[in-house]
Amino acid sequence: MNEFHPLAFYLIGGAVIACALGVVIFKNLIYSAIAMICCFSGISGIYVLLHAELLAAAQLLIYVGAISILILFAIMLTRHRSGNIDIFFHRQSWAAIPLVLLVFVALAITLGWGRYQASADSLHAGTRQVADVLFNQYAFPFEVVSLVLLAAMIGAVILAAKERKR
Amino acid sequence: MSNEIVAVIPELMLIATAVVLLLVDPLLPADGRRGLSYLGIFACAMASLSVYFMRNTEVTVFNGSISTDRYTVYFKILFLAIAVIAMLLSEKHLELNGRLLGDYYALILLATVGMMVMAEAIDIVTFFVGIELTALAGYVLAGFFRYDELSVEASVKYFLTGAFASAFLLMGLALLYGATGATAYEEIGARIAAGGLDGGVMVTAIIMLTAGLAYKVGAVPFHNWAPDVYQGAPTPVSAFLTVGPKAAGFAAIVKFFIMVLGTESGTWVRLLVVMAILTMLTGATMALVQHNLKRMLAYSSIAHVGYLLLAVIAGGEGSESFGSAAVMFYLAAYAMMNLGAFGVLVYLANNSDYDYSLDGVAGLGRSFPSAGVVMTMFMLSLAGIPPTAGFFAKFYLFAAVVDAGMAWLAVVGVLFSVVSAYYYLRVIVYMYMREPVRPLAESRERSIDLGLGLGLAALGVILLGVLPAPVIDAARDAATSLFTSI
Repeated sequence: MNEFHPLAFYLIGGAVIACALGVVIFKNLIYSAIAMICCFSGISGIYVLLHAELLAAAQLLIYVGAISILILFAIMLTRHRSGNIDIFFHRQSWAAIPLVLLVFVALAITLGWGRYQASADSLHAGTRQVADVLFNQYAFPFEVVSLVLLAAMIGAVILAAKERKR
Repeated sequence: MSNEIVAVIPELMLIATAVVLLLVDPLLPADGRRGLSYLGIFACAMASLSVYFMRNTEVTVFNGSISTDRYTVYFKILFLAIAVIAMLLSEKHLELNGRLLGDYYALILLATVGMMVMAEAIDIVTFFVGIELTALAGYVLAGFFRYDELSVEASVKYFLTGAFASAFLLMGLALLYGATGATAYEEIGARIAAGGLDGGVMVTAIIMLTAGLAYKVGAVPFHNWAPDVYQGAPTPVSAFLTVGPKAAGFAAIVKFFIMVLGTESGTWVRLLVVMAILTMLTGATMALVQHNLKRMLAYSSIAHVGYLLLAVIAGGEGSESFGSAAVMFYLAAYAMMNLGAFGVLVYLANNSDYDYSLDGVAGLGRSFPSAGVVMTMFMLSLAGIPPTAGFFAKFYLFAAVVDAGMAWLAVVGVLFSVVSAYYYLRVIVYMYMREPVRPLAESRERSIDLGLGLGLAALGVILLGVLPAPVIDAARDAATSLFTSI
C-alpha cells in the first residue's frame, strides 16, 4: 500500500473541521445543510486516504446521497411554517467555549499521542474482508440492526403518518 | 447452528409477535384492537417460560456475540415481567386517548428484545446495538400521544439527548477497542489484566463510557432529560421507561464495569462515587419541590439510580458478587414499586379528570379507597419502610456497600433516603389527611387489565419484602455465575 501524502490529509481534515464549524455557526439552515454535505464528502475523502474504499463509497452514497438530500428536502418543505429560528441558538456559548476547548485539548493530547493495540490491517480491508467479518463474526448484531430499523420505521409511521379512518 | 437458534428462542418469540401485531393491527376495526395486548402478554409469558426451562444451559453463541447463564436468566425474566405489567397498565389508557394501536405493543416487545440483548451481550458491538434498539423504541413510545404537545416534546428531548449520549458511548467503545484491540468482553478484560496499555486512552475511554451510560440510566449530571421525558410521555410509557431501560442499563453496567473493567476499578469507582452522591442529592432535593407527581416520580427515579450506583461501587471495591446481587435485587424491587406508583396514576387519569398534581390526590383515600391503599403501599416501598420490598432492597444494598468497606458511603445513602421519605409520605398525607381543593370529576372506566397489573406490582412489592429469599438466592446465583464464568 502506498502511504498517502500528509498534506492531503491536513487539507481534507482542515476542510472537514471548517465545514463542521459551519454547520453549527451558520444561522441559515440551508447553508448549514450544505456545509454538512461538504463535511460528509470530506470524511469520505479521509476514508479514501486510509484505503477504506468501501466505507468511502458508503459514506458518499448514504450520507451525501441520501441523508443530506433528505435533510435539504425537509428544510425546504417545512420552512414556511417554522417559527422563530432564534430558539435554536442558545446564549450559553460563553460557558461552552472554554469548556469545549479544555475537553478538546485534553482529548487531543491523550488520543493524539496514545498507543493503540487495534491492528492497522483492519483499515486496509476490502469489501470481501468486511463482508466476511460482518456476516460471520458480527452476524448477530447485524441481524439486531434490522430490528433497530424496524423500530425506526414504526416510529416514522406512528409520528408522521396520517391518522387512519376509524 | 441449532444450538444458536435455541439460545435466542425467547427473543425470536417476542420478535415474531411484534411482527404479527404490526400485520394484524391494520386489519382490525377500531374496537377490535382491545385484545391485542394479550398477544404481547402471551408472548412474554411463553418467552419467560422458555427462559426458565433453559436456565441451566450456559452457552456462548454467534461467535461470541451473546452468552446465556444464570445472570441473563435473572434479567430476562425481570424484563419480561416489566413488559407484561407495562402492557397491562396501558390498554385502557391508550383507548381513552384514542391511540390504541398494535404498534404500541410491538414497540414494547422490541424494546424488551433490546434490553435482553444488552444483558446477554458479551461483545461491545452487540451491546451497542442492543442499547440502540431499546433507546429507539423508547423515543417513539415517549411520543406515542402525538397530539399531546408534552408527549412530542418528551420524544424530541429524549431523542436528541439520547443520540448525544450514544455518540459518547460509541466514542468510548471505539477508544476501548483502539486501546485493547478487542471487541469481546473477555478478551478486553484479559488484555487489560495483561497490562501495557496506554493509560491516557483507557482513562478517556472509561470517562466517555461512564458519561454515555450515565445518560442512559439518568445519573447526575446527565439527568436533565429525565424529568421532562417522564412527565411528558404517556403515563404507562413513563412507567415502562423508568424501569425497563434503566434495569437493562444497570445489567450492562454491572457486567461491563465490574466484570470487564474490574481491574481498572480505580479509575471508574472515583467517578461513580462523585456521580452517585450528586445523583442522590439532586434526585432527593428536586423531588421535594415538585407538585406534579409524574415529575416527582421522575426525580425519585433519579435518586434510586444514585442508590443503585452505590451497589455498583461496592462491586468495584471488592464485593463483586455481593454488590452485583444487590443491584439485581434492588432493580427487581424498584421495578415493582415504580410500575405500581405510575400504574395508580394511570388508574386515576382513566377514572377522573386527574391532572397528575399533588393537590389532585387530596382526599383520594375516600373517593378512590382501593387506589389509595395500593398507592400507600408503593409510596412506603419507595421510601424504604418495612415490610415492603423497598426496605429489604435498600437494606441489602447498604449491606453490600458496608461489606465493601465504604461504610461512610452507606451512611450518606441512608441520610438521603431519610430525606426522600418526606416526599413519598407527603403523598400519603395528602391522600388521607387533606380535604380536596376541587373534587375530581369521576368517570368510572373499569379495566380488568389495569387492576391485574396493579395487583401484580403490589404482590411483587409485598412478596419481595416479606419473602425475599428466593429472589435473593437467584440474584446471588446469577452474580456468582457471572464471576466464575470469567
